[in-house]
Amino acid sequence: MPSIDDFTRPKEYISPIDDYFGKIVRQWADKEVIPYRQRYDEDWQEHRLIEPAFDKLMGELGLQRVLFPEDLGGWGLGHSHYTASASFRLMEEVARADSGIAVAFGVTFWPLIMICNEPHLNRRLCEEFAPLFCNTNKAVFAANAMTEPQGGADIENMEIIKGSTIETTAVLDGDDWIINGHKLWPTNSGGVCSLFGVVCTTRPGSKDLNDFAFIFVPADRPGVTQGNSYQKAGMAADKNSDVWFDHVRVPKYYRACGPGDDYKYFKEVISFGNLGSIAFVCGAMMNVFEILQNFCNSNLYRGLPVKEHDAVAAVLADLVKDIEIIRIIGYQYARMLDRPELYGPRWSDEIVAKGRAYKYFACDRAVEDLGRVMNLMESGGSDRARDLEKHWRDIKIVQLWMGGKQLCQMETARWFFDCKTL
Amino acid sequence: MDSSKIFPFPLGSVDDSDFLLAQTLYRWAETELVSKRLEFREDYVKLLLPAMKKLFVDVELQKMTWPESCGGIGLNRREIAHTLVMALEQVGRADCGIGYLLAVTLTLCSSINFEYNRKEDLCQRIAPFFCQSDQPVIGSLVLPSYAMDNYPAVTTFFRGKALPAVARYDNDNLVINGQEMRPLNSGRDASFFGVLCSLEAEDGPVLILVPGDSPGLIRDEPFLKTGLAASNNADITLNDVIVPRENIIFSGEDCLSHMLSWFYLNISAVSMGSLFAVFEIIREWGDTRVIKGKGNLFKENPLTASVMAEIGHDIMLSRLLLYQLAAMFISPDSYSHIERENLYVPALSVVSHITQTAEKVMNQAMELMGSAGYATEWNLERYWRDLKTIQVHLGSWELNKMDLARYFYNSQKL
Repeated sequence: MPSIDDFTRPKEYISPIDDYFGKIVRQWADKEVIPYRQRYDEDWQEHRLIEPAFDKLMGELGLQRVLFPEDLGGWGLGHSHYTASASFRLMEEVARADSGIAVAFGVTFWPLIMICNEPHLNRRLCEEFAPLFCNTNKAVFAANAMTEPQGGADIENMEIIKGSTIETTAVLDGDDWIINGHKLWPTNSGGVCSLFGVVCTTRPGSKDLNDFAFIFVPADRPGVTQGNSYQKAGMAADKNSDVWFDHVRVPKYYRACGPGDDYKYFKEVISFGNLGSIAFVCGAMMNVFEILQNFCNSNLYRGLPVKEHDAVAAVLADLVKDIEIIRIIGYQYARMLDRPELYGPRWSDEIVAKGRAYKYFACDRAVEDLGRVMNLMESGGSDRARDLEKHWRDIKIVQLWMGGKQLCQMETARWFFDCKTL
Repeated sequence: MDSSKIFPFPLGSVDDSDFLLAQTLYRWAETELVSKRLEFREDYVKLLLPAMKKLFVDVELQKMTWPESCGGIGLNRREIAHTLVMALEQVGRADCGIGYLLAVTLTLCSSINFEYNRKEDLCQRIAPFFCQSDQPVIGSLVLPSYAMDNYPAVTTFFRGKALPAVARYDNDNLVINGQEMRPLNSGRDASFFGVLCSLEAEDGPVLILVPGDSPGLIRDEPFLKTGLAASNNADITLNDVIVPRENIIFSGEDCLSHMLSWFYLNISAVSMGSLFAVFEIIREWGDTRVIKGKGNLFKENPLTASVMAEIGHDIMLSRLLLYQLAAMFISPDSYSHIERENLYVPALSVVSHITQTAEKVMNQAMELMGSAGYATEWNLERYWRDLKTIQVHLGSWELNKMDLARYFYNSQKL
């Protein structure tokens, strides 16, 4: 019988390390996560069950080091031609087990993209922060502090807002930045973050792109406060909270790329966020396929396995059709990010818009498919022991983050139709 | 703000006492649940159980359908369909899980005490439990499910699914056996189970009332599930459980279809209530949140307004359907081609439509709210989880559609 490995991968351009990554992460998932994940929801505050899985994946297997240059203890993925496609495979495999772990793991790379990726590698900051991630066997988390109370994910609506609604400020005082502000929702907050990338403004209300700043703030600096974790519908492994920056002082060189470039390369962060979201959806759907295979073989209707009922089979077909397409789209987008010489810069409006489109396509399909699959499994669909409903809750979260569906729609329409006011 | 007043329904179908009951339930919701929700979230012991006690015992809803002669309130005729709908809307608005328990409990009770299948002896014996108790008395149902590939040889199938239990006569008693059956709700604490069985010499399914304290009834540990925190559910096993022959509530497909029709009406009303709650949440969101910078209220943006409009539109049409269905229950003779047994088809159609619409509406509302959509603090995600859990308990839509096809197209082999 076909397995999840029989869904198509673009073999002519996947990374040489794709299979290696896939193998080690799948072993980790099957041993360290899947046997325990049904109890993760109750572990959302303490992470007693979840933390060992993070330590194994990120610390012991060393996957938190992959972006940093090799001479600093990393794996050099940030300057390879496979940054995105290898990331896609990694994230897909982790999300197959738990998309909450996948997002916490993936978001650790989010701020690091600003300093580890070519052509904007910031050697000084890599040297500054690599030891934090590379010289330990424990999981170390980074976070992007973007969303603010007044307008939610409006900050990510960069083309129209241009940073003008950002209320977190960065003021130069000699050779230091002084950061003040209040952020909501960063993945990997709630006390677990060691390093924040903070989206802020050097001139509140300004639409001048030079005033958009991305500044690193170690979480142990005086004035940084992480609140208690929010309780959510799912993704217990992903801690979110309020974060306050109260006169936090960091060196001037902690600004990631500088005036203008912070804005430009932050859009690359958005592109990778969209890629990660597609990978999370794809990974979760892989596991849904496994769960459903088992269910449809062992449950009978009219004396035959449920899968032999024509109307049911149509639902099964719709699911695998979407998995197949979503995986192909995901790898295609990864290829576009890996080959800017063919597709344009990763931070271009075109790449961002297409990423938004792919992300919301994948999420919409997955939300609808998982709803139908839950329904097909009847009471088993809502039973945590079946593991399906967990993916249903988690996938919905993927659909809603990063500005949700409407922002995806606007950015997509804006680029393809050259809209001026959306 | 009680959003149920915004969405039209036929005023002529309800009377002052229905409004009074709805107002009482609105106040119950505000006092017992809404005001305490932030502190206790979905805590069964601290929030849900006390609220259920108020509702079932103090507001006397567990007495509602029992005859006055048995100590009940006597609302046991089909004419109360609108009353039931109005009440369940309010309970569902407050908490889908409590609404669901009430809906199932009323369904089980109605199969004993409603005119379509009045069982006088059972009424006399069972009514006191509901009418004299100072604790919530919860009823549950065990309905057919998929068979497992290792199903026992004695299994009987009904419309393609396995009947959960087997009963046999033993003098004046029935002996019932069923392994690891999943009730619709409250496997841990239901006082009565209506268990659908196969019974010797009976062609069709037989619903048998099994008291929760019957020797041989084993309740498993509660299992974790997506939603419906008020339902403390667990699988149950019946090992040679003995009940009197008179505990047969009904036998045959017609009565089962009729009971399910009432179940679907009740569930439609609970789901409708959850839609009111979602409307209230999204209305507050639209009134207070900004988009694209300061001063641009969410509800004033054309895109978000269009999604919000769809939400209102879907809720309005669903409610009209719901009250239309209730009207069919009250006077089936007024409708073309509606006979007693045929209520099943419109009821299944309406409950499927409303729960699927509710899923769509909740998904849209969550999309509008972004991260707040899945934050527990905003409550929306709870309704979303609860509603989905209710929906899966209605059975697979793909297979339920076979019932509709059989009716509309006279399919013989489905």
